[in-house]
Amino acid sequence: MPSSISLTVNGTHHHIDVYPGELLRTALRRLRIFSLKHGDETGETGADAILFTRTPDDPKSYRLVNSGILLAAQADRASVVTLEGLEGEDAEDAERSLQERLSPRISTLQQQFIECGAIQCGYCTPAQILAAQHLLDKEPRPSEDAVREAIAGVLCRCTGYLKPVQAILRAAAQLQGETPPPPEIDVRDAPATGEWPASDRLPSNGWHDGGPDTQTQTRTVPVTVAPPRTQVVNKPEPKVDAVKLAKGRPVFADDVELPGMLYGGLLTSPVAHARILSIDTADALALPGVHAVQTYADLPRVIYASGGQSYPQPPPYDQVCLDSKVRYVGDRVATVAAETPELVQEALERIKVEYEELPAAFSPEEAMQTGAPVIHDEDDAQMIHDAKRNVAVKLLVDHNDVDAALESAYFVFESEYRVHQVQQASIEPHVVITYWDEDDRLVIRTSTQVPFHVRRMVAPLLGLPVRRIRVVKPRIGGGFGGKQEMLIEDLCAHLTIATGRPVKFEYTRQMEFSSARTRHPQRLRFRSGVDASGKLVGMEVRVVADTGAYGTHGLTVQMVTGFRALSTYWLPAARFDCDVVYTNKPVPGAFRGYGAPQALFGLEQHMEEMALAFGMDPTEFKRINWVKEGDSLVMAVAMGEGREGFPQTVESSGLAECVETGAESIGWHRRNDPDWKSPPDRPHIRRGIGLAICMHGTGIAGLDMGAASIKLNDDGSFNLLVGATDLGTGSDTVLAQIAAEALGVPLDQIVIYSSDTDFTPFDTGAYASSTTYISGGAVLKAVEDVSLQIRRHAAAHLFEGVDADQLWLEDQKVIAPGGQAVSIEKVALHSIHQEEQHQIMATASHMSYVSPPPFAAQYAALEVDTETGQVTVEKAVMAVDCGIAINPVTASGQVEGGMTQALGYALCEEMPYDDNGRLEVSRFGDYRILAANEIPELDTILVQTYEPTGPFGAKAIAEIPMDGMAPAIASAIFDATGIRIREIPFTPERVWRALKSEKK
Amino acid sequence: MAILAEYHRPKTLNDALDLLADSTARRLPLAGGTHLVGALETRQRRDVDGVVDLAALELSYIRQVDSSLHVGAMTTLTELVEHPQCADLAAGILPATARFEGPQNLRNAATVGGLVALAEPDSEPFAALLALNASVVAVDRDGGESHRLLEDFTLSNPRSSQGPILITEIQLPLVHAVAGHARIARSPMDRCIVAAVAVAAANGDLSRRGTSSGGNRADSTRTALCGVDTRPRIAGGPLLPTSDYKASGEYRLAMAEVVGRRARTDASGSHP
Repeated sequence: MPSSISLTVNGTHHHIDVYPGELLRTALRRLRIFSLKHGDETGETGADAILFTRTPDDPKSYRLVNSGILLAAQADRASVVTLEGLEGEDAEDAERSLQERLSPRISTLQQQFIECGAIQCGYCTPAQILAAQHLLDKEPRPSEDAVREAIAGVLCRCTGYLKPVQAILRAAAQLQGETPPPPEIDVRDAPATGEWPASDRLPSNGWHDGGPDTQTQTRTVPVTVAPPRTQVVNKPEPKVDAVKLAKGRPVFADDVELPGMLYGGLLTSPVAHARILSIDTADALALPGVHAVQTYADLPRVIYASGGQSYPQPPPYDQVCLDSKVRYVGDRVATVAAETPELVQEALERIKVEYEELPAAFSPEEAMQTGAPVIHDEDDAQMIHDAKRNVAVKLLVDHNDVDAALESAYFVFESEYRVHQVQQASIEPHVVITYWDEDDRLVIRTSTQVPFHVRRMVAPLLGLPVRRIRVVKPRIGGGFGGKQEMLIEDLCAHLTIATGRPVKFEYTRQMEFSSARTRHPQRLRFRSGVDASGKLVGMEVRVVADTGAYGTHGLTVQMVTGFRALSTYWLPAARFDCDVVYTNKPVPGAFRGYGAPQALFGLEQHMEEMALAFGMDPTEFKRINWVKEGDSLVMAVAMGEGREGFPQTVESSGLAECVETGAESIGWHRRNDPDWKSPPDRPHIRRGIGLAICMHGTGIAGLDMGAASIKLNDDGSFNLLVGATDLGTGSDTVLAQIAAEALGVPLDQIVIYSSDTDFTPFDTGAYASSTTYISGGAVLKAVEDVSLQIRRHAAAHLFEGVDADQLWLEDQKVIAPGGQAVSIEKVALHSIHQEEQHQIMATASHMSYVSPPPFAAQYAALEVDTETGQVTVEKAVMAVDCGIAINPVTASGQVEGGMTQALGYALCEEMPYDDNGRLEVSRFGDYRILAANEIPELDTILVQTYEPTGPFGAKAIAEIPMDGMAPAIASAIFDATGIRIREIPFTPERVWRALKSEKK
Repeated sequence: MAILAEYHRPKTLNDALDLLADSTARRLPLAGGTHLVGALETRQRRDVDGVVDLAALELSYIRQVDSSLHVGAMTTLTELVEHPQCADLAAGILPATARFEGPQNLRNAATVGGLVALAEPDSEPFAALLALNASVVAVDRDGGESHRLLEDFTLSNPRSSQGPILITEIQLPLVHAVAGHARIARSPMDRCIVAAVAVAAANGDLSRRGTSSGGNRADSTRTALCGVDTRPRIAGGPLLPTSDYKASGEYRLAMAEVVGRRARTDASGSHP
């Protein structure tokens, strides 16, 4: 029974009815306090942090606590302050003028978060700001350590914490009357290739390169303005979504309450491999308030592949919405829709399932053995390579005769590596809300990276045509590939279809670990040969990958592994041989880097080991072999993602500069300092520095396509509609910057919206580091079209004797060679209202047959405790060539966040299982992602080259920071101890055992 | 989702004990909630009908009584480590170890009583309390008050045959002591795989068990270990650590010696 509590929230007294088990977070969100986010059920994320006291008369008694591990009843007569209460935006303020009230009130702290680029997805931002404000109230001049400690209980998966810490320190300084200098980003031009094109004039045809002029044709995008005349591009513009995120506004999928909304829940399998003999749902359905229970018997059996990828989905097709067989602990069994989350839980626990347990296989080696249990024995699965051997996908790609090349090599080296399974662990879990709209169309509001793929993929599962489905992507609380999947949208939609009611369906943190997606574990074997000078003559890579119970991204991730392993260094001959194998484990899928971190962990160590065995300095060995400008990527044609690829040539590379600048930052020379390496006062400590080089891609050549629409408004501003999906990376900002630059207007004149399948044009989605390059190319094309329309209208009606191609846009004006100018606003009003009336607008698409690689040098300096095996990274450096950084702040933020995730991959993140295939971690903490007070010094250096095929010279940056940390740490451990460890993570025990076995 | 039928906030210890003793419902005491609410929410604990919130029992205090500090069971970890006498005790070993119990938003809610009741094997502040030779005061339904050393105290079943008991207070001897701490973890702030806390009193009074032989200062060191048993324990006697996903029993056993030695060395170099 509910009871009434008295609660003061941000100074307002409330009397609310709460249930005994209701969380304070839930109660506060019922009061429309949406800055509190659900990150987990056990308090580790801190996304729901509040300031709380039971003695509100004492202002100093407020403490930061997590509202998700407090019962609402515990808060009776307490007082709570949330982010909304700090700012007092809604409070009456007679001192604010009408003009001031038209703008949002931003606190110093919020302003610094915005200016420093401390906000990426923004899901944890309200709690971080609240924690920071609480600190500053107590300690106006905090140390960096104090700041890190203050926000350590608010986990962030995006930023790496550096920029939030900077923001808090700068806010502290500002509040003390100081004027902190602008945040500094280390941006350098690579000498050989860093020059922007000399001309800043538009080529006569608008494009540098010719070719058929279709909307989706690959062509070199125009350089409309070159530095130093860029006004918006290559500038640290604040993120366009930063204010709403800094203010904790209801912008995420979960931040709506629809009338009559039900809650959905999923019953998952407790066993690793079994047939369902029976399911009894009667007790669950008998509960008042339970509206639907669905099992395999209730849903049509439609075979599909869940990976959010372009049509046609890469095989295998091995899933159905609900099946009569379960293939891993956490697999789908049944769903429930009910009036409250508590009822959902109770109903799920009342479903009786009788399982016939089957033998299970938990490793690829086991699964491929003769007589192993067949995981996909259903007869309607399609395009499984060899179901009887549990091989989902077989990849075998040859370039020239690698056997002959290795046979004739001067020196051949072979080595093997293992990488493990980890989780994307975005702080916002998967969450979706489905409902019928007034036209009987199904609306799916979902936290997804791929709204258009979801719409296309879910349609046949629901029996609805695509036209009756609308997918809305609000802000996303992090994705990292985990939301490049049609994961729960189908189940939620089926519940809405069954009940006719809106349904909200959200994963718990435990389900995120057991029933979402992960990174593919792999065993990689490298065999390479060199000639007498150390030049590679051939390389063979053999990979056995674990795809868990379903194939989803199994083909494409492993294809990328092969491509990265065999493209970073130039190879006359190469072979990739890979088995992607089913096991009875949770399912790997897309995860930032998408096969590259696995490949590079093996490749970089293999190259280093080979160099040492050959008798050559490893860095020099890599330098003479890495791909350079003008080199072709020999595996590109054979290894597209799930289809044939296209020829690729490296047009820009700042790798040499990256290696050089990174070495300077890390203090590479210390490798030769015995006192540094073996500090005399700490006899059990050994120090080392390691290097890994990285090469990634920029979109998927010949496959990714993005589109953009732009229209001119009466006041000279523009609405930019993009299908691209900003999952916190800042892509909306970057796309708006591209538009603003090319239109000669400030960033605030571009009103960008993404994405809604009803209103925004198609985009493949946020993956493969493609958005800046592909979607940015579309924006640039659409903008060029609009620019031409503006100039034509102006030339025809507002200038005399001037052709459109003589005009240009700058400073919100259309300018003629003689200096005459009219404002874009005037052109807008004239074209819409006065003469030859029409809407100036354009839509364009862009795709590319090339995928220009960004390059990077990744360094780690660390110490190894030789008694315990504990590895402590002291500093990590990434010098990265991402072409021209459209926004240096968001670009460096991508690097810092990626490096931090990669540190976790190398050191402490792990998905261990018991003997029955049950995951042994179900919460953060046990699954350790790094907190603010344990991050080493991070240094990011943007080494700019000019990529001629990219918008304003840009390449990608989102994924490459994930690639090189683990091999750099392996290299540093070797430098410190002489021990080579070929498997991650570098846990204390693994390192200790390696040290011990070496002693023997 | 937490499925609870009842929430109670009694004002007296007797009322709390009566509620816990009432066999018509399965109730658990609720202190800070940092552990229990999560366990209910994740359905790790399903055998619970209601909770008895101890917040109104006026058990949040720290006061000096003679030569010891009496800490109410509902005192939060933050209040404990920010109290000047606790903060200074044994060269600040309580604040030093409390950081590893969890971040401040958890420490602000977690209570000393909860820490003692849970006795998690990797709890470093629990190990610090052990090394400081803390004792526990608990009451039963009949009003009986027990007073036991922390190392001898267990709260495995609050609904035991003797009826429920509640931890009301922790007592810490105020001694002139030094302390040291050593730990191994997957990351700098992760909960430990193995850790040790050593406390040495200048006059040797702290020493009961877990000390090496002899009578000098080093020999009077009292060392507590984490990660080598089902709960933190005083060093000495055979260790039988189990294996889990963080480390094997073999590794923990080997490391117990290392961290114990390092903690004692650390203590010998610290200043009271």
